[in-house]
Amino acid sequence: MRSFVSNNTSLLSIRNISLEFRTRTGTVHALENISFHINPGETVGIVGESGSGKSVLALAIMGILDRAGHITAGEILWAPNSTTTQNLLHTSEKAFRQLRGKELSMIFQNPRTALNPIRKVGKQIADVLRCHTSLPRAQLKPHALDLLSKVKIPDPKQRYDAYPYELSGGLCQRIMIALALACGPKLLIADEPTTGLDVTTQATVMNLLKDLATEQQMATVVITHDLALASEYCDRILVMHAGHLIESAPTRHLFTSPRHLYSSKLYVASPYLLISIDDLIPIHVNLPDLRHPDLPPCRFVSRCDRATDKCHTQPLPQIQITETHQVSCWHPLGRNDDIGMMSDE
Amino acid sequence: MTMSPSQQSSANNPSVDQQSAWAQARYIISENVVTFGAFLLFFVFVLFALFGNAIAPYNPLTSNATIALSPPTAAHWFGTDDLGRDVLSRVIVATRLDLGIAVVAVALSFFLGSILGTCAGYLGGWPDRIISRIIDTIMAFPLFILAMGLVAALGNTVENIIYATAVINLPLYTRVVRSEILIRRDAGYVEAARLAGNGPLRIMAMHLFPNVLPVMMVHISLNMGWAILNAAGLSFIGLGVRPPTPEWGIMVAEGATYIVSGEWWLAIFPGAILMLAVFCFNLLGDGLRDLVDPRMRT
Amino acid sequence: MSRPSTPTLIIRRILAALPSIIGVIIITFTLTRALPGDPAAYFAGPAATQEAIDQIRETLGLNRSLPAQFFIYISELFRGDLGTSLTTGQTVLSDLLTRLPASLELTLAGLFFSLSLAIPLGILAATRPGSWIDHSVRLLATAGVSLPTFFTGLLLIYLFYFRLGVAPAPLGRLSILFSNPPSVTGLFLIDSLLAGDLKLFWAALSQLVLPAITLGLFALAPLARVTRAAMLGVLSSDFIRTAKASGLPSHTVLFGYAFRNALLPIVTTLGVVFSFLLGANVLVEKVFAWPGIGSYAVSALVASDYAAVQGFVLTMALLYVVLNLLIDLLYTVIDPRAGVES
Repeated sequence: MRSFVSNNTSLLSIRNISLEFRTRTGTVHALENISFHINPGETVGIVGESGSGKSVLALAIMGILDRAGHITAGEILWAPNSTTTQNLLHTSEKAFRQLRGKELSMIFQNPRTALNPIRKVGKQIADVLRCHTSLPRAQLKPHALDLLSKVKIPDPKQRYDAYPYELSGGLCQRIMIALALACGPKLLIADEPTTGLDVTTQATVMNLLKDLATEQQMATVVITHDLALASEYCDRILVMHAGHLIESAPTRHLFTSPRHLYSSKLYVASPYLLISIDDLIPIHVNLPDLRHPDLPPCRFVSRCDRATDKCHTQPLPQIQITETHQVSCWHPLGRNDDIGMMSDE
Repeated sequence: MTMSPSQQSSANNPSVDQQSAWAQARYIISENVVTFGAFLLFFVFVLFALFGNAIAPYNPLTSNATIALSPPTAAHWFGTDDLGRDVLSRVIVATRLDLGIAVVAVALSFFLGSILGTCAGYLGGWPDRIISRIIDTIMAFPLFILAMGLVAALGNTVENIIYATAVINLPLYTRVVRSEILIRRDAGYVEAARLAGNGPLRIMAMHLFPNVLPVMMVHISLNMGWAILNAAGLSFIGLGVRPPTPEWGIMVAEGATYIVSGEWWLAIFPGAILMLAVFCFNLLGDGLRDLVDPRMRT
Repeated sequence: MSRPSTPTLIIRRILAALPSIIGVIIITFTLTRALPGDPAAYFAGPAATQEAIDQIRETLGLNRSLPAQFFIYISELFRGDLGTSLTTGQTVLSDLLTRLPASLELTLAGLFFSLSLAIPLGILAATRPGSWIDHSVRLLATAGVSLPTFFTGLLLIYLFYFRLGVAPAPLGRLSILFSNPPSVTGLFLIDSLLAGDLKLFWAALSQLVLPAITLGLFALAPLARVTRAAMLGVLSSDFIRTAKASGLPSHTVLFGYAFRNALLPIVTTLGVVFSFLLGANVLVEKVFAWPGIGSYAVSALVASDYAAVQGFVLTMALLYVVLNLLIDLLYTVIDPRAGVES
């Protein structure tokens, strides 16, 4: 574990991360040159289509990538307090295991299948407590019950002994949250936490997350393809496309003045933010095949009507629109191209 | 008229097509070396089964007390047994009986099992219930022991070994065919055949079953190995085949008494060849399965 | 949507096994009474006089109608009357009961050997995909099902007894120098320990090793294969990912979480494996002169001792039904979802 004094106030700094998967059919360049940071206590959303690499990025941060995944460049710096910083990529598996579930946590979609089907849910929480805390055996259950009530599960005593198949999706997601927050982590990554849940449950789960995050001063990363969700709960949004981070901005700015064509198109392609379905404008052309050895430096070119020769040959720039708003495009949308909620195409 | 590059090269060089067929064959073989090897081995066994008597160097039944129990030599590659008979010749000639029993038994169970399975799968209702009940009852027995009981009840002959092996193989085919038919029963082409006025018998025989055949080929191949083992096991414990008929199982049984005194060749050679035959069929089955439907792989 | 109580489930499973038992009895009845030929002649044996045959026909009621015969058969079974053995002169039931412990000990030892190799190998192969262990386990699984049991046994005898001299002569459960331990369970290993006779224990163990390995090798292939497949399946599942993300120690993830879930298909496979094991038992007993019910059946077959053979078939079938029932119950205990009406 390398530690050095740093002035960086960021909790988590991702710097120039590139990741590939080596498969029998070719090497998939899943992530290229991703850089961003998360500050303590903030809620950041990562949005993009399926296949944009959002989940892979999360797994890479947590260090639980599939065997076939290899990080080929960059560093992931974790700075839980102002005095220590460690590069998670150079952290031994043993040391990393002490971080996971304790300082860095993750919750997944499909909560029902994400829990051990043949073990009581209360016991699963107790397992995490036993692993990361020095609580005596007798204290594990009371603590777990505490956590269950913290995530607003009715009748915790009875639910402790329940199995996942006996609980609804919403309840299971709360169990997962209890599991993830059991040891008071500094960062929670939520990968599609509301997919598969009905709309009311979605709101309850997200509100719960928000409250707990404020209470525990925890940073949250919400990975989602649901723009409405991101717009409501996130302070900042990162937009990913085909393994690239193409835009990052505070939420309001992204929706009032998106600078990347893709971000603006995402907006009008999203069913939730529009008045009627007839206004849906799909994005033509599918995602590029990331196994292709000769991918263009900008992976949006095949779907972009503003692309020029520069876009095919020059590596992607990082253009700072404001202090907090970056975009990776040679031809960002200007002030004249504002596409807000009021304008029509 | 423009030709594609491959067409052009083919026109300029007439033997390219021939070549590419050969190259294609070479490619397929190199991708499945093991299966190809198994296929060659299978071919050898078929040769032995068909022409064993002609291939064998000695008469498998001729005894010669003077050279009894002699170890492998240049003259007798597999040595001689307690009656001075050449073990190699006996092993070669035995192929016909061992493979023959298995082939006939598997053919019988396949035939009967397919009929039962197709009826159960397609007709459903009472036919399905009765047939499934019968199959479940057969499966309630440890199969080898059921075969023992059947042979004891029917009489100790080679025919009955075949029937017994066929009966204990029946559940496999019935169940597989039934489930394959169930999957396909509501397919579009079946519905079309029904609407065209085809009766159930015609639909079962001409439309449904032919589609099940490729999968069944895999099961047959995998099952052959097991059928050979079963038949050899039954003759090992003294059922069916009588001396002096050469058969792998009975040869191992006869040789068993000599193992403890060190004359290993009487039992080990027939046993090894038996193992090789079963292994060959299993490899073939695996190869076929990968060709037909790799999803069947466990 | 909760699961009915455990006693209810147990009773349900037992009731579900009843049709199998009825089916088994019907088939064994058909085998013994209803087949072409004169069953009375079969029961009387090849050396019987016409008088003896007629007498047997009277005694067994073989001249009555088929339904009446069935009724007689059932009542005989309830009384535990499986007929008399021609070769031993005892009742078939007492013969079987005397010899059952030997077969049980052999099967249990074989199963123990098999599981203690198959499970670790399967787990290793699943956690190191593509490694040499993985490839050897897959090769073992393919090759293992090709091995004829009787051949393996003889090969082992040749290597370890004749060549290397480390194994004792394959002459049964104990060499003639020793006498049986006082009978408590009938399993020599346990009985000798209970009697405090360590020498006897080692003698019994050394006789048991080769036959148990032969039997176990037979079951090794399917068990290793299913362990590997089950573990591979479970290790790539969502809840294992959650367990890893929670930072749980690797042994907890592997054994507490993954393996326990993988046990489910392994236990299911055990049922099928038992079918083959019970059959292979017969072959192994013949090769090693093991005095169990398998070798009893083999000598009965050769001597055309009809009642003994059919008694054997019925007993093994009922044993198999009971074993499957136990496996079913074990599955119900391991999987809290079993028995839930979905």
